[in-house]
Amino acid sequence: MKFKIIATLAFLFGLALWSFRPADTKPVLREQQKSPLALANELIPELMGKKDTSSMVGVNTAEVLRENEKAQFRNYLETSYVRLPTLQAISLSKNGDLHRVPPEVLESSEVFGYIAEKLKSNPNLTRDALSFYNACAANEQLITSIRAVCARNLIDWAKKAQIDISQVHIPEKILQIVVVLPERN
Amino acid sequence: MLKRWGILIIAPFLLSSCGLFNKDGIYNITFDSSVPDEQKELLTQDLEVIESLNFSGVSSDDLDKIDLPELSSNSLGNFLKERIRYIVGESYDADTKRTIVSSSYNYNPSVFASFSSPFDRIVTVMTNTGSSVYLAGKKSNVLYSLDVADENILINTTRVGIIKIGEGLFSSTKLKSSSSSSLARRLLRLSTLFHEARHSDGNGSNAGFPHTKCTYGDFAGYYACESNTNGPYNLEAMLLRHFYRACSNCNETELSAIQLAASDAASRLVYGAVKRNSQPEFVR
Repeated sequence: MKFKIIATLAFLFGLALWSFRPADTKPVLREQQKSPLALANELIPELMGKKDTSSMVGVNTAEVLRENEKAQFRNYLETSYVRLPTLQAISLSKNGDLHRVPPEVLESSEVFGYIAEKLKSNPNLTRDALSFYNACAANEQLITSIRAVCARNLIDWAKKAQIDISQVHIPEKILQIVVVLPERN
Repeated sequence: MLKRWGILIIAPFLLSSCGLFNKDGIYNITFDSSVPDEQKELLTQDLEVIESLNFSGVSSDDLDKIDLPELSSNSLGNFLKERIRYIVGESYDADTKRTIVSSSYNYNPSVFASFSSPFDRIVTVMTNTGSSVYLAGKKSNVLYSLDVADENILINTTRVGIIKIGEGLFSSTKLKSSSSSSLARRLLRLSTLFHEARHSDGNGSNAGFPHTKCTYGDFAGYYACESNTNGPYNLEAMLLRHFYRACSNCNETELSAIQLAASDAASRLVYGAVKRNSQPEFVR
């Protein structure tokens, strides 16, 4: 009888100890090892060959995609901004022909072109682009011609999106060039 | 016998209509043999594009800077016709093609501009060789002639119209995913051609519309600025402004390239720039 009581107490003690064990980490590890494509598989089943989306009740796919696009666009703006040609880059230009437009300036058309295409297809990105253009127009380390094109874009896209930028200060020497540049229709 | 005479008379007309005797190209511009075929073909097509351009919304202020009574394909064509007669290639060496006609020539008016040649470049984009040689002669009281396209041309005016083009003209306007025959790249090259054409104008201290030394800004210390509102850079900026609008079917990258080129040209104008008489200078 005594033995039974001791065995029962030992069992209960063991059970109590087990209930205080640290949380199991195995499921988290499994989550981390998931393929990056698995996320796309869950969000866009159609792309992964799954037709049935009934199990996705509660997930706003469009919203998630919008946020993803915005994040990607911001990332593009950040990396492009630091690559815009500076005055220092021009003085070190391999071409050395300062009589003509520096090649680095024309190469920047890729950035301005990409941003314009994105804004045309998704006007929700306009505020991010305006921040980019504003920072660029004010940056004295950048080539004047680049700053003027940024200012032109800032004015034109803000007008198109009906965003008030009257508080933004654009230096006079930049504005003198801006008025010569063709306006966006 | 009569048939033979008939053939002899008709043959020149037939050959002429085939273009064999016609060495002048579009706008009567003659290409020197130093211009590579590929460049000649591209530039000829560039010139042909002018005829298809339509302009609208041109203000009187724009015309004042362009220094033309109107902006149309016709007026632009005539502008080039009066200022560009020969196009030579990068291998053309004016020093070896130059002959002294008079070694103590009295230029009148003998007023010299503060001029430093902007034409000695590492990569040739385009230079107005005729105007440059004229100004060099004027500076040293020497009258020159130049051998161009099997002709000997007396260099007695900035309007002699000999333009040198180089590989830089085609490589410096390179845009990703835009071929050299795209409309945008043609318009960029044409803007350079009009810029150089303006160097054929001007008189006295402003003969050749020389660039002035930048005393401030991005290009401080270089002869890469403009003190004339109707000079080469401002003309280029104004034309690019309207080329942008005329660039139908151009993608956003191409339009941005035109905008950037216009911005660069406009940024060269110094404070206090004024409009100058663009009448060309002639001697004898």
